[in-house]
Amino acid sequence: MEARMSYQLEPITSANTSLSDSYFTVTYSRDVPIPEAQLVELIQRAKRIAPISFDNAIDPDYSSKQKIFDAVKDLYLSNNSRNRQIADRLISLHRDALAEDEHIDPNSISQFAEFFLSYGHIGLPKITLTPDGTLRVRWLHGPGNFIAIEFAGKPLAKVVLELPRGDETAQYFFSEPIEKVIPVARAIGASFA
Amino acid sequence: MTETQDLSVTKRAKFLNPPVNEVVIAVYHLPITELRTQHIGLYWQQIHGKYPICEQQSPVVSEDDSSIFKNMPGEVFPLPRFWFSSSAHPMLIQVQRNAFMLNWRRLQNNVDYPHYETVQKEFWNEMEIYKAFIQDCVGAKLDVVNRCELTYINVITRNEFFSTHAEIKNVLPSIEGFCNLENDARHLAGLNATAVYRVNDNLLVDMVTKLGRRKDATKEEIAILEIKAHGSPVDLSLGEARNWYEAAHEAVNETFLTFTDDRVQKEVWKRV
Repeated sequence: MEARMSYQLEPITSANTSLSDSYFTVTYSRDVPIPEAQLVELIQRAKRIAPISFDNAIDPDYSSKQKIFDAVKDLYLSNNSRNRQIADRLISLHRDALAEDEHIDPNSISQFAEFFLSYGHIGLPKITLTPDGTLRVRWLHGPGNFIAIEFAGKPLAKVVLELPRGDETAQYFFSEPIEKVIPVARAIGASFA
Repeated sequence: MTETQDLSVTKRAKFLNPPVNEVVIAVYHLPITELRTQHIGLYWQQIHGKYPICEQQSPVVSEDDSSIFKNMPGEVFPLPRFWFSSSAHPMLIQVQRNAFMLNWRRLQNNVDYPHYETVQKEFWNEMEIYKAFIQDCVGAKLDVVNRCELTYINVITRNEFFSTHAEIKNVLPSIEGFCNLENDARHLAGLNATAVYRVNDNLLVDMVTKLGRRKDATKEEIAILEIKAHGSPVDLSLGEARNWYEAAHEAVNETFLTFTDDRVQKEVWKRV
């Protein structure tokens, strides 16, 4: 491993892709080289310092776009073909929203991604964007037979459920923590196929 | 002069003897999980005529991306970053699982900088080749784009305005405060300062100033002014990235002109 003097002084705002630094040394002291042991200690100390994310601190809109990318990346890398389809749909919705001068609620994105990463075995739903900018998913099984979840970005997700009960349609509206939506809905009789 | 006129003049500013030493255009995209070393061999075959040298490097890894450089299923060794270059020209292509980059480097002092238009044209030409290769041979795509970067590394050598470290303020007036701390008991011996400026929601500019000396035998004392624009296209698409780079180039140019001294621009770098 190369222990360059400039190592701990690399710009921390972004990764370094240039080559110029490889032939340039930042001067600490004109004629007194830092002893190797001290240099190693300096590098170790620099490594212990938690990196600061300037991007998040400065750019208020950074989190929205970054959350979309992170969600897409996590879904894409989850080794689940359904999740790749969901990732494609999410980026498509993002671009459609921009074209309409709208945006997806960043908190909704995080909740949405967490849900599908947690439940890899449920079917691919229809995914839409509500006028409020939150993501809504629906599993449609026929007239009067569906379940919809709206990821409002709050601790509780909103659920709408319709189930056939003989000649009638039972309707349910409830809110549940995201991790309880599936067990509660299944207990009522919902299918996520 | 109106603001619009001022911007257009700024955009056109060029130098006969610019201090630019390296330009990097980089795009970071969704990781291509299917990409393997054998694919890189096929890619090199396509560009071998122009880029006959291939080297492996550690990937450029951000804190959030470390997982994508661990072994993928079916991979014995993690995919490194690859350099493709030639001794016949100053361009360098860099490829890694989630990025494509092109560098122009001043390999010899007597080489003229071809200017941004040439470098970005080369970038997009090579990008199209790589994009088609990824689509045809790997069955993947470079969309979605997470981050774009345009970096200028300027090397400021000694000149009539800059003969001691402290005189760097004559070239970069805004760092005068550091220079003025020099007195009989201490001399400015080095500097490493980074400032970050927000241009708009999609574009930030890092400005890094360093004072030091070359690592080669000359040990020449120099200053580095690195200006890096970074951000992401609004819709995270490669198509929109073209517009992003145009805005980034304008921001880098404007930053350079406002951060460096007007006399040095005219007399040393020969602004035209």
